[in-house]
Amino acid sequence: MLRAGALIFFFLLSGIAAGAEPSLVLVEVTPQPDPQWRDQDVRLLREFRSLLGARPGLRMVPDAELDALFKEPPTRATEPLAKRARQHLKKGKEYSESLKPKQAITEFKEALRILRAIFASLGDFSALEEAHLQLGMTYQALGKERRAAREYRMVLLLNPQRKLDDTMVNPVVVESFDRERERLLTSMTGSISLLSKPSAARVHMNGRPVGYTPITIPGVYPGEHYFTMEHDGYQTWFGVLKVKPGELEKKEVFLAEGKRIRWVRLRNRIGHAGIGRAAAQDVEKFANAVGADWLLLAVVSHLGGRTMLKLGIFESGRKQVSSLGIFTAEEGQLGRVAKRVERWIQGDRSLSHKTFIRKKPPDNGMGGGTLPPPPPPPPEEDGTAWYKSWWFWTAVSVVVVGAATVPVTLYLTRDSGIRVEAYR
Amino acid sequence: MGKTLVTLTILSVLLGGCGDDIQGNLRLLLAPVHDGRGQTQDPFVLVDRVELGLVDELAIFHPLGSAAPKSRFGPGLVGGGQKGAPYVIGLNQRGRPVAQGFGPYLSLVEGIDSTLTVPFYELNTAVATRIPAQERVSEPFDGKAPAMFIDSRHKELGSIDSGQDDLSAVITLLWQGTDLLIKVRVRDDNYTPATGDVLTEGDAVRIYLEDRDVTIAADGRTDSPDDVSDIVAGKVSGGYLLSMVMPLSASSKNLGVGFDMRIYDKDGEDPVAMATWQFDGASVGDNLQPAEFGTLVLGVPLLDLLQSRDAFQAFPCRDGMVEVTGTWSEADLTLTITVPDDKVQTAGTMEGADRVEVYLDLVNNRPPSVDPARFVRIVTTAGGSEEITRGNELGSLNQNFTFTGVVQATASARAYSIFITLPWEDLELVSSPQRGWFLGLEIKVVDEDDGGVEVFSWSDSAGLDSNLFPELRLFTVE
Repeated sequence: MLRAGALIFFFLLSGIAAGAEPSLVLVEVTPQPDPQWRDQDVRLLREFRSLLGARPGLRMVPDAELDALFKEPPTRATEPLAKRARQHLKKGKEYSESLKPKQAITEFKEALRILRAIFASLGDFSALEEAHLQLGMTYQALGKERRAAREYRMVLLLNPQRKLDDTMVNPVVVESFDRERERLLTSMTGSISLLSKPSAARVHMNGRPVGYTPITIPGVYPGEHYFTMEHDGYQTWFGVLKVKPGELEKKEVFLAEGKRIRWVRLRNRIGHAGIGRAAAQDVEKFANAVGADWLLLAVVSHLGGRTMLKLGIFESGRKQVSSLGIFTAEEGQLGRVAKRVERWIQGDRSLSHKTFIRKKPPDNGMGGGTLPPPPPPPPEEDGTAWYKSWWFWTAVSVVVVGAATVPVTLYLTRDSGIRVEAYR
Repeated sequence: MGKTLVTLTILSVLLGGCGDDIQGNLRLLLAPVHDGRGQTQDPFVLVDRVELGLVDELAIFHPLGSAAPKSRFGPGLVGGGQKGAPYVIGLNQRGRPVAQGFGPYLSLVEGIDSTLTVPFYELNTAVATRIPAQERVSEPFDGKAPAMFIDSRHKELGSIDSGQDDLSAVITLLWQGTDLLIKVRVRDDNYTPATGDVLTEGDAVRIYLEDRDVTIAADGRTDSPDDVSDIVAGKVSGGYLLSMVMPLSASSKNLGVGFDMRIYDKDGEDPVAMATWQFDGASVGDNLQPAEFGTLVLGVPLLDLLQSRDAFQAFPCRDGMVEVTGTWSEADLTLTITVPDDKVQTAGTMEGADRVEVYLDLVNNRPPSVDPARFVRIVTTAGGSEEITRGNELGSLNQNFTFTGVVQATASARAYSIFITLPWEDLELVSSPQRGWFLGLEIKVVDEDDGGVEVFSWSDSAGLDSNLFPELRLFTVE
């Protein structure tokens, strides 16, 4: 009883202590993220966030709360479909075991049809892989080698490391599977180029992240690949794209706006305005939405191979965003920046501004660094007056003729007709 | 002094004559696909450059110029005398068409000052224009905007350098109830319908609608007489013309139905050439499957409300054309409806007087509604009596609300006008009105004459069906 009371007291105390710490949220507002650096930038911000969270005087708002503002909520509508696909897969296996290959194929195909329609919401592709494998094995049992090979190829594209154990699977199947692997590894690869509007969508190929749009992926094995494109504020696009040997497949995707688009637009507006010029009411909305006392705005940029972090800080209820400065995101530096943020929040508003000192000009040997005396004026030349010279009157003639010619030429070449304009 | 004055006068006359000589103005307002109040799909999203031109009734494209897709763009001054339907093509960074739009036919003549709305959609989409019932009997296609244009870019098989003289087509699509009226003008330098039963071995048009697939030869024969009716076929100068009617399984405004079209062209001993509106480049020449069809959107009349000048639309009633004009601002919506009437009844009561019923659908047929009421109803008699209610069901608009706007009626011997100013604030909208909103608007004119009551509506439907309400768009010229 005493121990329970002490425990409750401890939790209350820690709760009060936690409540006393100002809460902070880090929001990235980079206007146009560089797709080449995106993964590194995301890692950098994650590391910075954890460094901020480790500061004793700060309480970071959990990432999940911020993510919930931008990312589309997971749809539950696909759960019953996934369950139905698993049932078809199970039934297919039962048919296969009871030597009813045609019924098994029907079930596996149905499972595949459903899984291909919802693969973007699948946590992992194991069910998809299994359905392709089972379908391939059943085709092989019916002697349909080419169809079986096609399904094995799909398995290998989804999971290049996949190996079949000949103690569990028919050795004939293992042999065909390995043969398909050889064929795949020695086949001529193709490329795929993906564009999206908006750009910087995260691309997954066969369940694995490959980068951000616009992206060209070289060395892609020929066959059908499962692609998804995710972007904050937009619905995830997914589709199966076919790559042919030696060819470049191109795909443009216009991502449909999702339920969180207004938050992404707000973030973009802040990013485009710039940290120092962001409207306070825009930033306040973020702070209110996640219940943070302080909001740290970050813009990641790259200069000469170095990653720069521009930071602005905003206290809920204030009228403007204060600029903390630009920092290089080098090893050890981020910790110092986190400390700076903590100090700012605790009231230390001193910033280490660089002082630019105007250098004294070098001494020219004439004393005191003063400028040399001006050169003497050139002596006047003897001769005729300028208004009597031939070149003056030639110049006057050119000007007069030109002044007369230009309006006449313009008049003769003027545009005439009906003005047609379109307004979007 | 005198010489200087003369010189200055000559120079100013010369310079004054150097300005562009604008003989007319044509403004095209591009209206994208919409969904409820706001615009959800921006057809400009992939557009890098825009081409403008006119497609004439002989299916020939006359380019006017190209421009960058800013808020306001266009080729500027173009020569007069040209005729056709304005055709706007959006090209992506690689010069590939990604979006398009057609306006109604017009002539670029001196003195023209016209503002037209051009539906602008992604390339796989076309718009069928809604027509009222009485237009069916006369010439329904006259003056209507084309919906599709097929030219060498759509060619699948056959010679690719025959140019516009051969195998191009302009297609006009109209809908009325559950009928789709189709007119195809094919440009073909060699009219050769099939001689045998296989219609696609000669000049023919193949239409894919929903799950149906119908071929009509250039001479009017068809392989599916159950799916198509009222076929009119004829050889015309430089090609042939087909018109027909096909039934739709359902009809509602902005409904997208699967649609595609393929043109077969037989020239001499050459194999048949084919051009298809939408086709899969990987399966050239194959029969299209429903999943590969484009989308045909069933459009309704649109009043493009501008802030600076009155927009204009009209629909027929017993004694002439009802004129609908309006403007909008951040504060209110203004509508003026002028009704021609040989005998204006201005009796004080609501029943017995000539009156106009205005229905505003704030959700525009797309749930969910987040405002207190979806529909607003304003009934005004020619004598000035008014009744303003709102509600969420068209059948029971009996909820009163605070109306701070203006409703006025002015009547003359042969016409009356209704003027309505509706403050947005009265509607208690969650968000303030924005450029790009689409609202449903139905207007019913109740004509009380000695012979009885007759009702004319803009949507041309007898009852109240929000699926058929025309629309207004809040737009600004930027």
